[in-house]
Amino acid sequence: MLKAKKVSRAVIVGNKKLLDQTVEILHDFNCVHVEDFTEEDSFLSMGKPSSIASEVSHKLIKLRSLSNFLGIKSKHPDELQNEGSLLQELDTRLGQLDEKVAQLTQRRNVLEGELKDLESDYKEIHPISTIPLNIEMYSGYESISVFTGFIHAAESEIEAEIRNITTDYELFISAHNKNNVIALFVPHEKSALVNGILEKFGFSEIHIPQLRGEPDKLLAGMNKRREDIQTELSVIDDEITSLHNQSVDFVLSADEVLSITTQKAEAPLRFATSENAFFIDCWIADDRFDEVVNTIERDFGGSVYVSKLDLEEEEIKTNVIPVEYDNPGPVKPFEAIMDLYSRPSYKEIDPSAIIFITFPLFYGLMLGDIGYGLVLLALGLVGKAKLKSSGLKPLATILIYCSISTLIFGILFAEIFGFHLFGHHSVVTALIGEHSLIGSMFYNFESLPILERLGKEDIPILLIASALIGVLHLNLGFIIGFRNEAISHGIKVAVFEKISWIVLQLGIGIFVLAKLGYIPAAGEASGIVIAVLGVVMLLIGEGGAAILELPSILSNTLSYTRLAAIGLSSVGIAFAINEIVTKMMFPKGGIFLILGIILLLVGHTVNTVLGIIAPGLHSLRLQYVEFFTKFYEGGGRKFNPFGYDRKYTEEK
Amino acid sequence: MVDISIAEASVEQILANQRGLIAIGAGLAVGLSGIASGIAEKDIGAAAVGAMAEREELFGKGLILTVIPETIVIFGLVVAILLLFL
Repeated sequence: MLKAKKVSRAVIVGNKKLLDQTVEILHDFNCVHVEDFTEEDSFLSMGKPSSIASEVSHKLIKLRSLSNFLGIKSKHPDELQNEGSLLQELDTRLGQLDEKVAQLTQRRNVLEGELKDLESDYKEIHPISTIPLNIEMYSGYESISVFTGFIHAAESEIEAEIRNITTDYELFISAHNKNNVIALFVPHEKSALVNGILEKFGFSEIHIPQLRGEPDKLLAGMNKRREDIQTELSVIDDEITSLHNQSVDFVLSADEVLSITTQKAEAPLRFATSENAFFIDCWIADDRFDEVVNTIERDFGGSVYVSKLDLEEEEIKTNVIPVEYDNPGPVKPFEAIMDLYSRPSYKEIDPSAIIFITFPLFYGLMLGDIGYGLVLLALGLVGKAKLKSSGLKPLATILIYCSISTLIFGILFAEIFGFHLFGHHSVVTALIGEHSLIGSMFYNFESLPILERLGKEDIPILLIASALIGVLHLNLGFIIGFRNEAISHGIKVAVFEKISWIVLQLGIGIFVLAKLGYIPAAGEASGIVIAVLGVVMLLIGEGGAAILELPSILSNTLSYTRLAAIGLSSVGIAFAINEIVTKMMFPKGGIFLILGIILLLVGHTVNTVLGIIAPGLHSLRLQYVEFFTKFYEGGGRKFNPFGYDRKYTEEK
Repeated sequence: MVDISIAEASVEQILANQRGLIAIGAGLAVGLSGIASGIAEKDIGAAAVGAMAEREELFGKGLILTVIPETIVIFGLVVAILLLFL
């Protein structure tokens, strides 16, 4: 907790013949972070992947394309498959699956192609279906030109124009969707002139497909065929679904086994090798170091050797050491929040455990409502149960923590959906009546709220309290910053850079207290002296530019008043909805009762959504902007162990 | 239009007027500071989204940079609360 897991750098050296076995052992340990070897400027060369690598990755690609076609997504494993038996039947099952999928795809492609052709033919024939001609009559003439298409003109207009050119023509015209469709037969030699006329009327040609028969009958046939194809396609879809259900377990576990095999087979690419030996440059977590060394030395009787290297100052400073969090279970979800910003570097304090307390605390202080707390708790529990993505699961857990804190503050503020819980305006009393036992209990209960956010009196207290929380939080940041600086740059620098801020605040604090009359007036002068001392220390520590940073201490502290302000805005919205509904709508009765209930539901839903977003973002911001800037550097590399977290399979 | 000169106005009317002015002031404090943070945030937000499109890990930093001007509206809100409740 508060520090990254201790790791040591090690080099594993051994006879090349033992490489595969070494890889197996390291992979099983799943606690060794391998540094990739780069060939540049080295007399060693990169290792060669094992002989099965290309074959296995080939299978993996095939499997993934099948999985993609079947739409298989990762799911909660039902039962673990045995790796050995899976490997035995993998080739046959993969082959069968591939064949089935290929058949289905081919059938589907053929049908879809036919459907497409059918639809384009249908589109072309449909407009001319009202013209009493068979489809074959539209083409195949030697001396006649045929014009078929849409036109913006009436029959008489067209005929009048065409008669000027030739009397030798045949015109069919019919209406189609506000347009006219024509089929015009003219002698071949007149076609150019006729074309000119038609263009004047905005003629657009329809391409007639090479078919035979009456348009109506053709269309009916097409409709029937289209329905058949669609039925067949849905049969294929059903087959795909059933294939999906049959093979989902196989595909997921095969994917896992093949991924593991590929990972192992390609591992030598990350190692350095000479003619007869291999060298693995790696980091091993200290708590398992001995275990790894003992296993390797026992299994190979000294042919593979692990040697621990001392950490160099350079390595500590340049963030090359991979960082693995070392937090107890409940704090783990907050590592996601840390990673969102930047992973801590190896030597600095890992603030996950602090955020574990302050994030829900701030969130609860802002939202502080029993009703919203319960809604969020339900959402969090549902999310935790339903969400499968490992990225979102921590967020659901954080939501649960936040909702608990919201509930606690809700009880302290005695608010439920912006209504009073206790006292003379108690919503419970209003609902069940003042004279019932429970109603009068709520009516007469006066120990809560500790702070009343629905009235005016307590709001200054809330504002001041939130600024004080800010002061505490900021100084916690300075103290951690002091520790980090002391470790990396020495005590002296740390005092000037971090303690100076605390001295400055102390000075300001004494001055303000004296000014307000809480301590003797002499405090004013000594406060100023201490504050000036703080500024001088800061100037020594950070140089002249620190003057520009001075106001930040004020703006940072005031920034914490958002703890009160966001809360009040959320209460304000809830209160406004409740007032409108209970005072303005319900008394009117009738339709207003229903409208009022709808408004209550919609209003509080919107406020709940805002209640997740606003306190969440602002609580996060207080951590990131106000708190982290006091001490946090980040930029640590992720400790990425060589291994695989099995989900669907177990080892042979 | 009813013309009430200050001399004729009752105490209640004067208080009501003052309450109205306070409410207007509070509204202006929140509204104007909200516009200000909106203007400040729009450019940062656009740039942050652009940066995220290039490198997704920048989400955290982008979020922080985007919400920095949010302080302006919080100050506006605090001022409004002080106006209304003190």
